[in-house]
Amino acid sequence: MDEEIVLSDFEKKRIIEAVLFAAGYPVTFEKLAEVMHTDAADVERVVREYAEEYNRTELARGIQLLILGKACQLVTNEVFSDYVREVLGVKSGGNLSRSSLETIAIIAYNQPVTRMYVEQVRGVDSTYAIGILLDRGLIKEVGRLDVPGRPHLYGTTEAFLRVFGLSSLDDLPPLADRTEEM
Amino acid sequence: MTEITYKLEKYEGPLDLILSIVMKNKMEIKDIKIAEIFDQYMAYVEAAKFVDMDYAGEFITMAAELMYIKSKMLLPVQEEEDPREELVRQLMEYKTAKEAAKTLSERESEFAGRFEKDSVELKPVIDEDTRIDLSLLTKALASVFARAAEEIKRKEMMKIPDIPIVKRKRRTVEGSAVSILKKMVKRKAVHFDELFEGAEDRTDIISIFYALLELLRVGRVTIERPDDFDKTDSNVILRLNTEHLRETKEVASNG
Repeated sequence: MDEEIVLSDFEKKRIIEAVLFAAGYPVTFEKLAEVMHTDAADVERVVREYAEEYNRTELARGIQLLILGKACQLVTNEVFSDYVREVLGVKSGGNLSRSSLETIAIIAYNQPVTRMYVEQVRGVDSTYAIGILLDRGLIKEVGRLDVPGRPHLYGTTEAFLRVFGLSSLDDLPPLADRTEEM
Repeated sequence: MTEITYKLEKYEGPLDLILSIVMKNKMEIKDIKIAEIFDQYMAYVEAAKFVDMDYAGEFITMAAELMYIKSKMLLPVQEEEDPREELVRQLMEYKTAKEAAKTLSERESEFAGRFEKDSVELKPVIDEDTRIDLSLLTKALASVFARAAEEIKRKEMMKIPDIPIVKRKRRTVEGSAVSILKKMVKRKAVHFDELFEGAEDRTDIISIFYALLELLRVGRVTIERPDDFDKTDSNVILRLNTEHLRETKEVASNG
């Protein structure tokens, strides 16, 4: 892969599919651009085009190509989740508790935020809920706030986008009545 | 007893309880009736007989807050600021979060069935020799402890004062994990002993060791038995598992 090879969109799409299948996890446009000797914007364009072809409802594939922020991933189609669950022996439960949901909602809409902020809004200790969300990979530490104690700042991950059916944070459903800038 | 558990589970916290009282009584959040809320709130708190003291504490703190607002409202001289203002703001904010949680919950039940493939095929093959061997770790740790004991003795002899407990930086397991990874990202392979550089006392050593165990467990770090392991001064080598998918991304964002 030393020489500069200019790939056609058709080839790029097949490369993307191969890489995403093998990886399993979300691969950034940047990483894909690197291996295909192009730039992230070009990859994004190709991926968007490909995703549209790939996910066409009339094909009703069992696999779908997701765009998750600045990355993309191949995942199973949620329509067939019952079958997948049964084969893999995944319990249908495992859904997030109310406290975890409240916590992730606050983080998603206000990120990056500290644990203190979450607790201020919820009015209760949220250490446990944050721990659960970190464990499940739905949030991650994105830095530290420059105040005494340097508390961790939390933000959502690509897994969050996948599990909640979003392709970027701009897709978050608008809030009913946001009283003021928080 | 069952009734109590039911009640405990029903509310996420004092704000949730107040919000539900507000809704039940069809009050406007912006014009809540503190006296009414207070009575119903206290009735719940008294009936609940909390088991979890932290959880109870949160309810009691809010009870005091309500009482304070209530007494302020009884004062004949009204201050410029409505004493309820802060509570109203909190309730509105909490209500927004609660509604957002509900919307997200619906989305979750629709989309949580999107499974990603585990990249098993790409994981490095772990052969028998590199599988985590307890004796490697216990031996290495024992030598770290022995050295720490010597260090303490040396400090005592030289009369170097210990850092007072309050001035010590607390080393968390999490923090230790990050610093281990940072060391390993730079160097790829490090000696077991090197991870403990800068450890001040037993607590630090334990924290670092615990972090290392965690990293080994999740497979982000692998352990190697050196060829001369049976010699007394040999050192276990740890390597960063470059095949591990989270390695590059996370360390980069932490660093």
